[in-house]
Amino acid sequence: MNRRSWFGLVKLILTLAGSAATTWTWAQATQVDVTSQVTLTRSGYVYNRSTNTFDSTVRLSGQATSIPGPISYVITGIDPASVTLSNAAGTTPDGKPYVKVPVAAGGLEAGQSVSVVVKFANPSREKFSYTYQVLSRGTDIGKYVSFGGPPPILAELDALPRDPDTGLPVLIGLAEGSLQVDATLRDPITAVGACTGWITACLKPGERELDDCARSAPQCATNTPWLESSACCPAACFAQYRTARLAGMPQIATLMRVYVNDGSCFPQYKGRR
Amino acid sequence: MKKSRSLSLTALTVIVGSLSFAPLAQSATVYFVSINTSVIAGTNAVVALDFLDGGTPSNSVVISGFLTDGSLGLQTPTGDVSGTLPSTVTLADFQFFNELLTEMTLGNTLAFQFAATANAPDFGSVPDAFSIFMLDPNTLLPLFPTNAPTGADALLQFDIDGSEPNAYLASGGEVTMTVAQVQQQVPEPGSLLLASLILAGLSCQRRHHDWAESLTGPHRRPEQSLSQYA
Repeated sequence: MNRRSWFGLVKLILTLAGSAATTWTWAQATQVDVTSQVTLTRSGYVYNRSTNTFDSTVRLSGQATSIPGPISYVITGIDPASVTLSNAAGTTPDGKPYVKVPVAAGGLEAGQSVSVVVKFANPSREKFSYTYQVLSRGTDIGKYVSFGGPPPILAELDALPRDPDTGLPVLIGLAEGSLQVDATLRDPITAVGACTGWITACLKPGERELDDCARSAPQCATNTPWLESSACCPAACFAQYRTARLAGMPQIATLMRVYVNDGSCFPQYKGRR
Repeated sequence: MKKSRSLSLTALTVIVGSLSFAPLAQSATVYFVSINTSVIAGTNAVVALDFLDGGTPSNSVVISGFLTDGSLGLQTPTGDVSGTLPSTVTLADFQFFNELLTEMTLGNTLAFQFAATANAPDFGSVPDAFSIFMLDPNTLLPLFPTNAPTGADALLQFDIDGSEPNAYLASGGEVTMTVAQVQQQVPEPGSLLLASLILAGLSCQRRHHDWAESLTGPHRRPEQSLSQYA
């Protein structure tokens, strides 16, 4: 692999590293109530002596349409309140505990069934009942945002020292050799750099999240994106990104996996394998 | 003999009639449970029979016909439990948690049958559930893991919602369990009523006609079998 071609990726990684501290507090995508779209069967309680909880198996079956994941089984209320859900994976923004429904990345297909166990702590062994809701992360990831694209990198390159032999800007200089940048090079790797460069330049936490930027990146018109006149991203990349995000993968990890490490959505790019 | 036959028919009429109106007998399905404990015979264990309330309406479970070649020890009821093994035990759900713990030295087998009322859960309730465990007498934790989906290591769970009992496998093969529905030849309510009327009619007719004398050979067999109810 041409060392000079790594410039786009190096820039991406540096950019992401700088913004990593803020990525984990980004708001989640909208939750959609899909309770009416599933057939739900709750088993009776069984006493689990290992966890001192009263356990029930909840079986969810998809109806006519598939439901995108991730899917949560939310306990919206327990009567009496002294009984609590002990195996909650987290709480919704309004404080309701939930467990994750184990569905594949694509969600719950029509006719497919999955089960999840709910465990209730009931120290007084009182009669209790609870209400629930089934929530899906929804079908949309991010929102469209307006971004004009990253500034030209030539100005940054001009500030770098030049290699006396090639005349190219030197990104990293070592006694054994140097990492040089050829800004005129166009190949599948520079296409990855152009796409990810657009997305990361678009990123502005609190205003334009990674989800928004991945969704809003200009779509490539050809199978040779490195020959297109401006930065673009293949449509297949956002499709993969969306699937992974709906399955619960964090934004930054999804971007790295789909656009860099795997890279199969880019024509002729073999990823970082 | 004539009087005996007449009483037999009347008694059967009463029995059949009562079957058709007794709610438990009409709705209950009886299951036979057999647990082969020969692999761990001689082990001290606690057999837990749990009945947990899932909400309205109420239900109950009756355990009867308990047999084992092991030995029974102390029995500890909690909640709404009446009776002790090996006699009939009834678990009801006026409380949430109802349980009978029975200390045992396991033999090669233990078996019993159970029947539950069949009141399906109301909207908002989960089914009332009967479950069976085998516990370590020192810790009261499961004696061995099973493949029960909740991880509670139950050997059996029966939800009163119209579904069949779920029998689970002991992961290490410590015990094997079979659960079978006891075949009951209970006629449809309509035919029960018809049978009652016919039998009642026959019983009355018997008082006026000595028709029984004309019955010979295999035709007399019903009378012989019916006489056990007199």
